[in-house]
Amino acid sequence: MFRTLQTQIIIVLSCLILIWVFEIFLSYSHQELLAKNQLLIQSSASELELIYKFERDVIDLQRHVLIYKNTETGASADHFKKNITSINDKLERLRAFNDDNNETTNYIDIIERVSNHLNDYNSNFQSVIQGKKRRDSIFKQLIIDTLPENKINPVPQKKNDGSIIENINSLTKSAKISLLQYSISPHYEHIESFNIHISDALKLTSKKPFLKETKKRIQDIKQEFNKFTQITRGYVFLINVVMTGSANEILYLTQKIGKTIEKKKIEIHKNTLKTAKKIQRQTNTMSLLSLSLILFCAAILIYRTIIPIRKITAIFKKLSKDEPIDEIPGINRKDEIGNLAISANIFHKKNVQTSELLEKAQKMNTRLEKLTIEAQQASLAKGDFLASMSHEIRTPMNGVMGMLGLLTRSSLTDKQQSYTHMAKSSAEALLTVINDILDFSKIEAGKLDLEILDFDILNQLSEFMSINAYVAQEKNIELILDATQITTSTVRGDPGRIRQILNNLVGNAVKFTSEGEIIVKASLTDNINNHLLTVSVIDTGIGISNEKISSLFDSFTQADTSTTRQYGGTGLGLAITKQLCELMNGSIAATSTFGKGSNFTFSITLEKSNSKQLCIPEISLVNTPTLIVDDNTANREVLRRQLQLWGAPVTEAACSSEAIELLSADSNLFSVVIIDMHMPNENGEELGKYIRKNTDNDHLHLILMPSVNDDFEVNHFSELGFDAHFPKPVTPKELHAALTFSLDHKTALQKKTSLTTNNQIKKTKTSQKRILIVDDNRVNLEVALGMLEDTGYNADTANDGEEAIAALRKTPTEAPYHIILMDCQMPILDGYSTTKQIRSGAIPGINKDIPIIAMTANAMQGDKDKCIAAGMNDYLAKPVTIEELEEKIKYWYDKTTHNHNKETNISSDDPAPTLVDNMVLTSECTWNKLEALQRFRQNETRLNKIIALFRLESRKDIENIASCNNPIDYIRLSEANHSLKGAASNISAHPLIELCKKLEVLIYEKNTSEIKDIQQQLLQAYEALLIELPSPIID
Amino acid sequence: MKKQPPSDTPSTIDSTTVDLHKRKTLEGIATLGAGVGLSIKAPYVFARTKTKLRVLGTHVTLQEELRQRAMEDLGIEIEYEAKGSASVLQKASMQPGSFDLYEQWSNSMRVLWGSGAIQPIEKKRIHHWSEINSLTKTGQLTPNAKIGAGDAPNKLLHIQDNGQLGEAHSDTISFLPYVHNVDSFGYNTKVIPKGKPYETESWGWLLNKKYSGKVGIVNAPSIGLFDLALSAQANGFVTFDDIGQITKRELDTLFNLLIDFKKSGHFSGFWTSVPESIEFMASNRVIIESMFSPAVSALNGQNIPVAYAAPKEGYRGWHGVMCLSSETQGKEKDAAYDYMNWWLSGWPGAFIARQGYYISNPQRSKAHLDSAEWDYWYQGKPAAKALKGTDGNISVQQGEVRRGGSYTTRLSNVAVWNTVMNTYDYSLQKWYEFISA
Repeated sequence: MFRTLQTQIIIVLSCLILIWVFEIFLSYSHQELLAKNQLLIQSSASELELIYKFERDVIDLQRHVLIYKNTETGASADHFKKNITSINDKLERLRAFNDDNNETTNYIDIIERVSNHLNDYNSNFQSVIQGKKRRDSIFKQLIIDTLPENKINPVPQKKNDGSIIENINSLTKSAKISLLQYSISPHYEHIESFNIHISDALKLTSKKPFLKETKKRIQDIKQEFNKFTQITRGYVFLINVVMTGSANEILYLTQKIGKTIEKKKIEIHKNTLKTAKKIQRQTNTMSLLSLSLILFCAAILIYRTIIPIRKITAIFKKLSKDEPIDEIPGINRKDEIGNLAISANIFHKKNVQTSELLEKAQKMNTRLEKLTIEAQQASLAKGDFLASMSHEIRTPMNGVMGMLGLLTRSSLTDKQQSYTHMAKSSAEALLTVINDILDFSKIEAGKLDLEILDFDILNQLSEFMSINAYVAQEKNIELILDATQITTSTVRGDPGRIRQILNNLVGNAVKFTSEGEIIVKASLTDNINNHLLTVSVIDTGIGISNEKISSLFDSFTQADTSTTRQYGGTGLGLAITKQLCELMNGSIAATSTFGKGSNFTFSITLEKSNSKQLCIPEISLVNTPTLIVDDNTANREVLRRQLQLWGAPVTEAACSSEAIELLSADSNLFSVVIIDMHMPNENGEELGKYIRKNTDNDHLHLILMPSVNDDFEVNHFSELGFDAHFPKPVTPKELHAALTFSLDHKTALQKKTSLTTNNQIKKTKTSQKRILIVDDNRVNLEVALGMLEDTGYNADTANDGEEAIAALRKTPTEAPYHIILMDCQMPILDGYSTTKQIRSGAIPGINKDIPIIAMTANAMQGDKDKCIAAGMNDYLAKPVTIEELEEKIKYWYDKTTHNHNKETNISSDDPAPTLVDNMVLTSECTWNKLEALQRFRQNETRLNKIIALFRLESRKDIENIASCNNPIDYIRLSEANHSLKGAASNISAHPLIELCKKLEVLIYEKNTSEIKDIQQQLLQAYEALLIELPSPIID
Repeated sequence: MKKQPPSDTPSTIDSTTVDLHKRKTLEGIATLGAGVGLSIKAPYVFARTKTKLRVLGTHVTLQEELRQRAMEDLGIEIEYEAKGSASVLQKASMQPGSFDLYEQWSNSMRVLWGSGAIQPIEKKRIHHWSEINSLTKTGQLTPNAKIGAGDAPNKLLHIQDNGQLGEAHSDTISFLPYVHNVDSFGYNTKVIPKGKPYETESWGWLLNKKYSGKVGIVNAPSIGLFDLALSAQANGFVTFDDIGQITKRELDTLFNLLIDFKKSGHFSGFWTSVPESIEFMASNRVIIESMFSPAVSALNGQNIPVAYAAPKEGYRGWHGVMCLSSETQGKEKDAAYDYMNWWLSGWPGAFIARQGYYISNPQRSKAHLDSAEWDYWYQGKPAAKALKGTDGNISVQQGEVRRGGSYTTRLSNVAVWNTVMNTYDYSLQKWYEFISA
């Protein structure tokens, strides 16, 4: 138990504390001792003082005795008394002084002896006083009474007697003299003399009888004298011998006491010194001891603890730095150091193990890295595989699809047409399957990225509905869009993916619905930060059983395997749809009543767009009572609600006869009649004809809603008397356009014009747009060429990047290429590199900013990014549909001419000769309105909107052009010039365009002086244009 | 010795009235006792009377053991009044009625007799008178013995026809001879080499300058004076015509010398009692001093080696006297005679022999001593065994020899007897001057 450092340190500390306590005790007792000695010294000093006083008193006492002896005065006796009292008092005090040493007995003995002597002295003195008194009285008696003759002797009786008496008298006289002498000087000779005389006198008296009396008296005298001498001797003896001896002895003893006390004092002093020295010695010893012990402890601490700890610490440091160690000190110790050493040993062992483990881990890591690289490579390979697979599949599919598309347009026998159509359907199904699988793979791999951009949700829906209308209407299913709940048109999101969702849902609905209608009900809810788009696809199809509904959205699941056989499909559609919804922070749910229909509702979140627009321009139809004639209730309902939103009083008629009935009653009740084309019994066309027969109905605006599949000549309906027509399904925009058109052009009927918003592609012969198609695949080239020709574009081809660049360079400046359709994977120079070369501006004579649209079979998102990164502007996944192609071309062509109208639905600037004829053809003064209007399909509203936009946007450009001098900021100038040129092109402001072109050249040449000149001209032309342009109208 | 009262210095001399009164009371009691005594016809010697006997004296003989023993033996009441020698003498001489028997030393005889305080003692009433040795009868124990100067007891014993005290034998004596001894000085043999008795030991040592500051003298002129006179004479400083009768002139010379010694610090102290003399020596205050033999015994008992010198000049002798008060009559007188006879009856002599004192009829006491005691105390032979004192302590170690030899030898070497000289009164004055110097 004493082995632990803790115990050792506690013991050491305890020792130190003990020493400390002992030192305190020592110091305390030393102080006590010194204080005691001090007291003793003080007491002996006062004792000494007392002794001196006592001595003085004794001497005084003796003095008084002597005075008494000589004067016999009472005063001396009184002094003596006082003195003795004082002395006794002092003696008592002296008696009180005794200490504990050996001399006490002696001291007390001496005091006792002094006391006895004093008592004797006192009593002797009293005896002296009494003796003296007696002596005096005897003396008086002897002198006064006894010695006179007459008192001693009788009267002589005989003659002889007389002589005897005389002799006696003489003798007594002599005796008296001796007495007197003795009284003065008490010496023996006087006694002897007295005794002789008295004896002689006695002798004489004894001879005579008559002297008997005398004899007696003389005997008495002799007796008295004897007493007198005895008393005298007595008190003289007392005073001279006894009392003097006592006094001397008292003084001697007093001195002895004094000496004793002095000696004691010296002794005490010596003792004090000795004690002090002893204390000093003890203190020194203790200090030395303490110091030694502390040093010892320190040494122990250093040798036993600090050094070992330092060593152990060093060991631990080494261990922590993983340095090699030889041996661990103190491993055999049983204390904490030992424990530390053991710990260090363990640490060391662990270190060794750790290094071994590390080595293993490093090896493993290396392996892992290798494996990771391999995995990455595998992943890359997989990605490449996916990409190349999609490329490899899509390329031939593109060919197949394209060729089939072209084939259907060529003149074929009905049988051939039928086969071709079937082949095309199969190809499309296959493509869907492939796309689904690829999409699913991408989603699974987390590689599906959303493309977030501003788009018009209403347009998107309308477009979608129009496209799907073909299939639906082929099956005689009403496809109805209810977009009345959408009030905001421009939102941000991925329109492609939304369309994919819709495709899936509506596709399914169409697929599984054999009769009835499919209603697509869309609503857009405004939240604070975003929109919630909720779309329900409600069909009247076969429906889904409850037990199937739960697994509906699982991968590779269809409601029924039998359905797969019946309806085809991969079973991935809904799974993809669900994942897409979730990707867009949304969800999808389905409800269904088996045999009656299903309702698929999905909700997704869309971002808000900065450029918000109302989807439909406000239109007041308050004074436009409208009659809707449609056999489909749902359709009627949607129409009615839409019209009522605009304020129109709506009347519905479920069939032609009902409509005729209403009109017959009072046609003036209505202003517009919207007629469905396909109705049982009497169709819309016939109804229209019927109405127009009656001139009472001339005020009526008739709008026909044919089916998308109705292939009629453009003027077919106007010739029939319809003011406007638009294909079903009804979209708010088309309804609006039709209403606006028919109401604005009151003379529409007379002019036999009609508006068609049909998105069907019409061939246009004339096109200044030059397009370069770059593809190494001949089939693809042919497909693209065919498509472009169909849409009225002139296109050249190039087989690879180099050829493309060469073609670009060869192009004359007056007829440049406007768009390049670029394949990505090509030999010699691929699409990416070609684009980069073009964009770098290194190739002189070509427009480096030319829009380049990728056309690639690489359908993955990464491919698109790669294309954009390489500098391409847009992307088309093969196989390309003609619609997509036209859309993109239109979009990019418009963009390059700075037409920000994103309307891509309008397929072509369909010439309306009658309309054009009526246009005032303005000269080439400031702008060509006719030409501009033509660009917008005679849509003046749109033109006006564009003009308004021009006024707004061009101001900025012109200001930039005017303000970028000193020194000329070419980049800014170039940008502003380019922007202005585009904007001017939209409205056919040719003088401004020409000036911009000139400036363009000058900027390229950096011709500073002429630039300024042209700048001025530009400003003037611009101001002139603004005056000429119509004032902005607000719609 | 410790049983002794601390001091034998005279304390009072004024108790006359009280004592007289006491005496009358006691007389009454005695009378009553006497009547009882007669009726039972008790044996004559130690007549058992309840008479009260008043004994006045010093501590030397008035010892409690003796009183008890005497009362027991005699069947009487005994009252001891012990005082210092001077006061005893004064009281006795002035108030004879205050006592029945007086015990002191021969030097008080002239005063007592002169003052008429005592009455003659009839020899015939002293039963062992014949046994009393020649010291008091002739003054010599042996024919060759020195006759000491001063008041030698034989010169004062017999009452002469003229009423004076003298040597001529008569029927009456002034005192009963009983206790006696010789005194000298004692010295500490640790400091002073032991001298040879009668050869080197000398009174002269008391005034030896070597012992200056360490000399003690008894504070009594009638005793100490002789020690100093003998010393001065031994040193040849002075000579006396008769050392027993020093003249005024000789005293002047002597005291001038002594005062010089005193002033030089020669004397360390003057003791007034035996215990004091013991203390002087024991405390090393002195190394040589006048001494009485009991003090020597006591100091030896305390292992302080004190030699009681046998000076070659001879001892200072003293002889105890027992006197009958002149006023004592009747039963008290009878009792007094009984007491005197008791003293000579043997046991008391043996008792005091153990204290170093001699008795005048030693042969009767011999029977009460064992041979070792007798041989040591009287014969001057080495002690055959360790001898006990009266206090029961060993006072003599075996083999020890009494300093000065046998009784005869010692008493044959008396230089001077304690004496009240004619110059006594003068010496008192000189003594005062001396001790105060």
